[in-house]
Amino acid sequence: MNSVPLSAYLVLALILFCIGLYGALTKRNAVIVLISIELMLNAVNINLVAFSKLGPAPSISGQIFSLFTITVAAAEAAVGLAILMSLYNRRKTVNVDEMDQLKH
Amino acid sequence: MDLLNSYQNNYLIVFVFLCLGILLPIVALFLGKLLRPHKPEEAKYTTYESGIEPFHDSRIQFNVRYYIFALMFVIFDVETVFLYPWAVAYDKLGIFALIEMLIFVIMLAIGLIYAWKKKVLRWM
Amino acid sequence: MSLSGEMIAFILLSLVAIIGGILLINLTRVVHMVIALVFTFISVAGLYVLLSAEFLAAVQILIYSGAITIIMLFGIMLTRHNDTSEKTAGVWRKLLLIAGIAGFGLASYAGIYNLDIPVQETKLHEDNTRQIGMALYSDHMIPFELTSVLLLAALIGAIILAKKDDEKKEGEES
Repeated sequence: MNSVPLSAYLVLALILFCIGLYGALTKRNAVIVLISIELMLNAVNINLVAFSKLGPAPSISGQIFSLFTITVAAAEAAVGLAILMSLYNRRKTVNVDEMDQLKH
Repeated sequence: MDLLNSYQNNYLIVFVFLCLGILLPIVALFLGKLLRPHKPEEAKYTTYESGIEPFHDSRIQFNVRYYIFALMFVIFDVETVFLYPWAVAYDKLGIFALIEMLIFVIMLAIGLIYAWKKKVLRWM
Repeated sequence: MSLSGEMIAFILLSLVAIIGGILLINLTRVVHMVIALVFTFISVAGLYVLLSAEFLAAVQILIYSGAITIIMLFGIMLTRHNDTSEKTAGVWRKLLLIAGIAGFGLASYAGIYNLDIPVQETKLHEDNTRQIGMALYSDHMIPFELTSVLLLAALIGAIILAKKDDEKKEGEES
């Protein structure tokens, strides 16, 4: 009856996580690095929700966990972009490989 | 199990709406492309600036001030997400959840008052 | 494996999600990358519906494809750059990275590919939002209040960071 197995969701989440990891490590633009991290968090959320329905002890807690994850992701994106803009105003760059100094 | 099936079948309607929503603009734009005359001219491709001659690129850098409005939209969007299940389950939760939610809202109201006092809410 | 409606929906949604991710890697203009990722976010919302998490699907669309995409676009518009993200990383470095990520992927895949957990019937799809509300405001009360502190800290911190630049720029202009 229930045709989609748990491992299908886990493999999909794994693929999305790998894509996000690759993007976060290769892209030079800091905005794209941030959004790749959002993609990785999204993959983790798929895992949490999949286990909340198809796991060994199904309960609503998995969904609540991912609700908190989404909240933290939103706060992280907001602060990350504010830091990025502050850095951009000093250094006039958004490329992560040029941000290699601790002083300004 | 029947309930699960009817739950999933409900989303077929959502799927149909989604398809219509995607197809409608594509078909409309495609038909428009077929029907309209195609006469490219130099003047048609310049940036529109209320009739005056354009003097710079259409992509200019925006002021940082606008970012703060986007930021506050995100934060209060998240607040709405937490308000919704509280409102749905309110009749079962009672007064204690009301106090919890009051603390939550006051916390975010502090942030709003801070932004107001720092004068970042002014448009100009 | 029979091809039920649920399976077809899963295949379609996961295809859209993966294509969005691949476009994120391959497109050159930054704005297009962000738009490509919106497709991934929306199809992940569809997957949440399949997993009987209706409320989370709504939250996904509201926060990810609404709010986070909007502030990412603001971030792109506010930081003026040459609009393309050209890749200059060396070929060897990139190959090494791909090898590392593939190794990680294979190691995880070996762990999950024949994971067999007996499926139990759940009541998650009945009054999903009410269930979340009941659990969130009784069992998970402290994390919920901590969330408000986190959001407050994020709001104030981001305002301070953005405000300082604004003042500095005005000082330069006048």
